[in-house]
Amino acid sequence: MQEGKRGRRRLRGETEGRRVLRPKRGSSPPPQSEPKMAAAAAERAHARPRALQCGSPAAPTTHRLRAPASQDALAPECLLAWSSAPPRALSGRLRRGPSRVPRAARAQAASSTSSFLPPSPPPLPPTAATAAAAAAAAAAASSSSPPTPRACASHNAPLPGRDCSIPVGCGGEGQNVRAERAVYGSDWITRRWAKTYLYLPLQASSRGGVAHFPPPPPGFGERVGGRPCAPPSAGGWRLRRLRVKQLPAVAVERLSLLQAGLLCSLRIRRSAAYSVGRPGPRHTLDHGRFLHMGTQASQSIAAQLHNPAPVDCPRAVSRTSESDPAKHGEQHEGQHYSIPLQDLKTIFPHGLPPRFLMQVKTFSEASLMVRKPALELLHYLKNTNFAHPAVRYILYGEKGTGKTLSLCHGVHFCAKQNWLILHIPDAHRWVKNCHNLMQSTYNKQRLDQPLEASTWLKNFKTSNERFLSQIKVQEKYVWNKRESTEKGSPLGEVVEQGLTRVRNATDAVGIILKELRKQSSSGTFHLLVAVDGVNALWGRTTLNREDKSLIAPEELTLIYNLRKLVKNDWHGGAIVLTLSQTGSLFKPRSAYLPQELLGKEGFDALDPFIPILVSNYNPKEFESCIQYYLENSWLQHEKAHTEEGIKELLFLSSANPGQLERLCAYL
Amino acid sequence: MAAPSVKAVRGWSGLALAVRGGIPLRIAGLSQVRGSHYGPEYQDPQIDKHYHRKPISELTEQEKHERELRKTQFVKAAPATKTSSVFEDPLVSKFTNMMMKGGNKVLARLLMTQTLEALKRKQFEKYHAASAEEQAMIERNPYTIFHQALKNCEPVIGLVPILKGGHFYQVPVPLAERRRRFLAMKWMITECREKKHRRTLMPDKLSDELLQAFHNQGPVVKRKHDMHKMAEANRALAHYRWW
Repeated sequence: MQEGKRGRRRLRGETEGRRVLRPKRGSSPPPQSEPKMAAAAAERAHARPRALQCGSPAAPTTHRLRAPASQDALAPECLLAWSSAPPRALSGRLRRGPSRVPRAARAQAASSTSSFLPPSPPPLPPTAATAAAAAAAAAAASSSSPPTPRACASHNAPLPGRDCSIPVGCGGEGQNVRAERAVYGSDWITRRWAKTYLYLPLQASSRGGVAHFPPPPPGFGERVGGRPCAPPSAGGWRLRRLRVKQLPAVAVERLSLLQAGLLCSLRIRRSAAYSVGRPGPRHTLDHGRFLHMGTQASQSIAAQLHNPAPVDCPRAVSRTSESDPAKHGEQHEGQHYSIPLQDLKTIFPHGLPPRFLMQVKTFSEASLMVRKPALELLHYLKNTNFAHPAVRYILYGEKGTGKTLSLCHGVHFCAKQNWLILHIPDAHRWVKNCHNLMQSTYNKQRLDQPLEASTWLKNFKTSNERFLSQIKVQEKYVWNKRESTEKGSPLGEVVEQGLTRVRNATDAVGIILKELRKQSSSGTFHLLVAVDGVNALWGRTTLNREDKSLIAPEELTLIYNLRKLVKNDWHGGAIVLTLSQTGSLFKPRSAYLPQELLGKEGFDALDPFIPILVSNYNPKEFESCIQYYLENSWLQHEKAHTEEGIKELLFLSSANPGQLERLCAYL
Repeated sequence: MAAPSVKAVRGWSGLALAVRGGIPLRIAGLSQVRGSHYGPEYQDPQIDKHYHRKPISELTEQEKHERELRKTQFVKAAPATKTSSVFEDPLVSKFTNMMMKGGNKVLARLLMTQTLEALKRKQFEKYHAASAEEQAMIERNPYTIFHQALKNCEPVIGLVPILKGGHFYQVPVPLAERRRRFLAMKWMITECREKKHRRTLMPDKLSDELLQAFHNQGPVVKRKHDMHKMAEANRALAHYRWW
């Protein structure tokens, strides 16, 4: 037993005076042959409890990340880049305190600026500040840009006289202030980007050197602070806060063409944020303004930037009189169309989100916004080839972005085109909180859910009344000793049997699904299978048998039959599915990608499918939504009508449709 | 953390107790709970974002001087509940805090927002069902209803037990503004918690009560009237009050 100098046994790998480099969950530690800087950087990165997995070589076992292909090329640069990134944010989203500058930056700034003394140091003259920043930048070994907070080091000390309630870097501090706030920590960013990275095709060619990431997923938060690995020419981009008064003339000109107020950050950052070797963002928006925009929005806004066409005035028309979904096109994007309430009862006896129903009841009208994902889905549905196997379309996106309503838009279209709609409103309801499970008579291994099945049958009957008499069953079904359905009898009889005899409801549902799948290829009708929350079919259940053993989803008859229906082995229709984390079981709140929610089994079962991303509102849609609320006098708060109020709504909701709706509900 | 301004009492020894404003601090075994721990030199934080957004060029000399002075002064920390949001309402915040139980601000705020939403939806339903003349009379702004309802519940005069001659007498006393607001909110919350059916949700109960109080009806306004009547009945004891 060896004793070290200080009389205690040292652990293998432990160096004196330094923290032990331990690999993060599943990843191996960086190779020893790296330059010192990278090693120090790696240590710093690992020291943080929520350090990044940017350079993790081994495939992490977390469900969130898949390892990038060529990790070694990335590891040193990534670590380098991330090490000098601004510190991670506080747990709260909105920060109220003096800005935190990375220790390295602060130390360098302190050494370079002599006036950095409490209690109230005089502000540095601009030249000194920039000189200090330049000196600090030169001092930093990294080729990537140092974080900009360094320049305002004089303001970052915890001065006793400073009004700590208000963050540093507001207007009124002039050009000296470069304080940028990392609202979202770097690890959050990487996680987000890593998720996108794993799902979208890997751009192997663009990798190497500084990390190149594909465009961030929707709802991507705005990140402030000098991101050292700012890829100048990557397809990826970051949102930053932009200060209006520091705009170059060109950007101001463009800004004047665009909708006022809300769009500053996006426009400007796109044109000016990137330049090789520059430290951080050049422009900052009014303090506290964020704009969380999806990829589509960024692309559309980028397009608008390059083609500065005159845009509609902010209070544009929010409604369209075109109530037929078949005629909806790009010109209707962002506008609301209303569904007659009579149609609502027949087409949507179930399937609309509960908050939407409340809104319908309050406004006495059902208005749905025409959005890009829905238009895309409608385009696909219009061009369905009924001779080919049914194509699966999966609507996915973050929580509250409008997947269910996009699905409903598609269902409305198909109903107008006289398709047969098989709409399962929420598959999660079939795997949790179910009472009165019965052993199935058809197959002893499986379990029936009579209540859920009978509810669904009732709604199915309401929505597809006219088909029930046309479609005839092609087999004889014996229910029990006395009752049976003959071959050739209409499907309505099966439905009636399921409704009257609740015991047989589940089997009736199974029969309907089987018959419709078989007969859709005959060409008499087109079949639309719409399932909301399809990830429930391959998840876990919270149901137990009497002996408290867990039930797997495939042991439920309804789920078993539904799984067969969403297979693409039939033709004559289409399958539209939605992923939903909201009602899901044992899935983290941040999961929204198909791989995360479906799991391996579900993904393999649904592969191949066409994914349709549903993201947050773009500025036009946001304006349209606000305008709709104003027209209906839904925004009653006197400040909600002002520009400031709307900006605040945008900030608070980050253009997320669900959040915006909830916010406006009590304002 | 702000340094507590404990004035060292000179000339005493041993059992010296620091006294501030007549209230002894640091009694053995007791820790201060209520009351500000800030000394008088601490300034209130400036929350107003327009104050901070004013560019230097637009400041007058006096304002510039004031800002320079502020840099040398101690400033209290802004409470976490105060925001520079345009939608902030101090009365709503106070009501939320009074509804809060066990520090569960999330739940209290949720209930408050749901109450305001319920108020709005009920009024919208009435609005759509009413004729054109009646529509002008229906108030749909939940904040207006909330403020007006609580104002209608505020008592003007209250009763205070005063000890005289070995007996406690209920003496009518004019109430301070903050006491009135407090009583209105307290009565409203107590009424909803205790007197309603236990299966009803708080937003529904509250929105009903607020609507009734807005129209000067309902049990809370009745309680206010009862208080006034009792004060009127004990009018003779008014001279027991010495302030």
